[in-house]
Amino acid sequence: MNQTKSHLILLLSAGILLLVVFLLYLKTGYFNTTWEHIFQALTNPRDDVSSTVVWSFRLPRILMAFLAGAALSVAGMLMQNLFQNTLAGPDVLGITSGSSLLVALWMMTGITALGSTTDLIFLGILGAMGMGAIMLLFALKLRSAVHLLLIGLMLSSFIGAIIAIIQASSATQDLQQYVFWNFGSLQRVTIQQIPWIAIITSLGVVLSLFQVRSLNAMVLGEEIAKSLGVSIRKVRIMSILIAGILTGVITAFAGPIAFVGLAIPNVTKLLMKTQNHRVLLFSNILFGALFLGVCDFAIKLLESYVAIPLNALTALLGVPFVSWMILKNRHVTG
Amino acid sequence: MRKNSIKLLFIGFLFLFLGCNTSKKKGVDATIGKSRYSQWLSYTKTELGIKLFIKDPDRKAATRIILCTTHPEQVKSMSTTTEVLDINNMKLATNAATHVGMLVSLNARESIGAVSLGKYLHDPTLKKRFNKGQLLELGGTSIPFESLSKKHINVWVSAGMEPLDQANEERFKALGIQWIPNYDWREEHPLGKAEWLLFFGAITNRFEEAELQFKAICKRYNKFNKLPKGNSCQKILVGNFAGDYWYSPLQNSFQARFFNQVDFCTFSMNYKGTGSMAVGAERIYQESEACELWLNPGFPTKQAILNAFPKAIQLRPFTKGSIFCYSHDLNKFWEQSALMPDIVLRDLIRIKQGNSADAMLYFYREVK
Repeated sequence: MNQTKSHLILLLSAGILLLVVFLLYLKTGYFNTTWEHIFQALTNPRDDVSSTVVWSFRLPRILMAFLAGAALSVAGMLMQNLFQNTLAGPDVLGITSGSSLLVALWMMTGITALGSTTDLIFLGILGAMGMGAIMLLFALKLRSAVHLLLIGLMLSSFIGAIIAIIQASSATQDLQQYVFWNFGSLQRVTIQQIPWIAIITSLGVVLSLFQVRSLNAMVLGEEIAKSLGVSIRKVRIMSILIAGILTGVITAFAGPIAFVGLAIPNVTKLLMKTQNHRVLLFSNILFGALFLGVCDFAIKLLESYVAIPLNALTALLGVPFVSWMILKNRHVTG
Repeated sequence: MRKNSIKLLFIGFLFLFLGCNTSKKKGVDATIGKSRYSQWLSYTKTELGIKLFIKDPDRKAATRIILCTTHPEQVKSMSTTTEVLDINNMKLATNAATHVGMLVSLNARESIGAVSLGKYLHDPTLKKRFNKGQLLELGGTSIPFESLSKKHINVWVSAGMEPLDQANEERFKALGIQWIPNYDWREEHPLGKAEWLLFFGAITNRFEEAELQFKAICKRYNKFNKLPKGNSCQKILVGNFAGDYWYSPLQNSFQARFFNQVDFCTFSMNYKGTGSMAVGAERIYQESEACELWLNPGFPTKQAILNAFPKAIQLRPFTKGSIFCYSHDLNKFWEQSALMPDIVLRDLIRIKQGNSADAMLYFYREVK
């Protein structure tokens, strides 16, 4: 079986699984809903319990899980390509922290410029891009990937310290709102916000598609990429811009979600056994969406027995899996 | 027949006597002091002062015994397990608003040398002192040992959320500061929490005053026990979301005690436990359909609720009922409510009766 065929099979399987998770998610919950209820709620929503449950609780949450999983995975893929480091990811390199900082400032100082939703999106993206740019400056000076990661971790701590200072001087209510946001939750997003998030995420994905050729060249090293006519400066700026957009919009609405952006691009590379970023891009979208969708579905199934925060489950499921994958395939990735 | 009636009457009296005696004698033990409602604090009067017995709720075998005395020099033979606390020139640090409220109530403001954060103060006199730089701010992270020493703090009353580690214990000892945990927040009964006033009475040499105040609190609070109870309780929604889960008080929790008194009930009060239970959004949506009232969402305005949890708009009390909370003045609530459980109850009763104009309520306000 040639590689293209196996890629297609894997992508198709992920797509089918995604659909299965989507349907099961809509069907499962505290309310006992039949397929008929779901179908009716989706096609002809009324002012009844089934429609409210589907449109207010289940649909926005699973769509947000898919969007967040896809966006963070693509952002992670771009970061790993940019820094040529498999341990790079939006949360590890402080991109998520940058987003958190501006959202924290917005929530705890009460500065409103554009209107609440627009402010949130704008600041989330701006913070993520700002941190991305700072990391890029460091990346230009530092050759060692380990040093770069250390800088990323230090900057995250630095931002954490600034947030702690803001928290200490903020009003109790604002602090409470920030704390709730910082838990990370897919539940908070409304169906009215989903189109915004979907449009911005799609924009990031489309921009990434235009980058595929350059991203593939970057895998061969900067010198070879240059000789192939790739503008390194442009690739870096675009990667940070796109990763900032994707991480910022998700962090703004769902709070910081850890691990997805680091783990899924690695898992994807191991599963697809390719460095072709066209394939990796679509794989990250599907596997990222599937991973977070499954995580949230598990949280929902277990919610009557145990309360598991989203970030705890992503780490619980992801860390052992990725560790195993990396150990098993270390000769493949090098 | 008459004999049987007398027998029944006798048994009745016996039950009544035992019942009363049991409730009054709760926690009485010659070796561990007595308490009326508190689970974690008991006390006894000795010739040299008040002896406090503080049980650790997480390690029930561990009890701190502290003799609070103005004559430490007279303490000669004392069991090695008993610590002596010199309450002359008491200067204490506290990291809980409830403690501040109790000290204010005993007019022991001068004993306070350090508070958690100035912005959490409610008492105007203490606020003034804080603004003049007379009170040390402890902050939220590490213990400022040097500043404590400079301010001549001799006791750190801690909310005891985490046990003191050995390194900090040694640092406190080296500076001559006694670290005393205060578990009022672990009490399940409102009067158990209020009873910790006697703890502050003991360490600030105002025990008699504290006793008088506590008796008055019990009298006022217990008056509400005589309220006629309805046949069925009014279902209400309590709490709010934190992350993906809604937290609602369990049957034996501190909050549930108040709601029980007022004949309010929430779905989580059907489940045993002293904390709260976490449930998902759909369950809350379903439970809210039977509720007209939502208490303690943690925010003072509907807009603030929506900012934190946009789907609150789906909950019936948000759109068709009413919401009440004490969040418009949290500092006041945390400082005063522990010693005013009767006022908390009065607010709840007035809310239930619809007599809930702002002027009629002390802690609560309608969330608009």
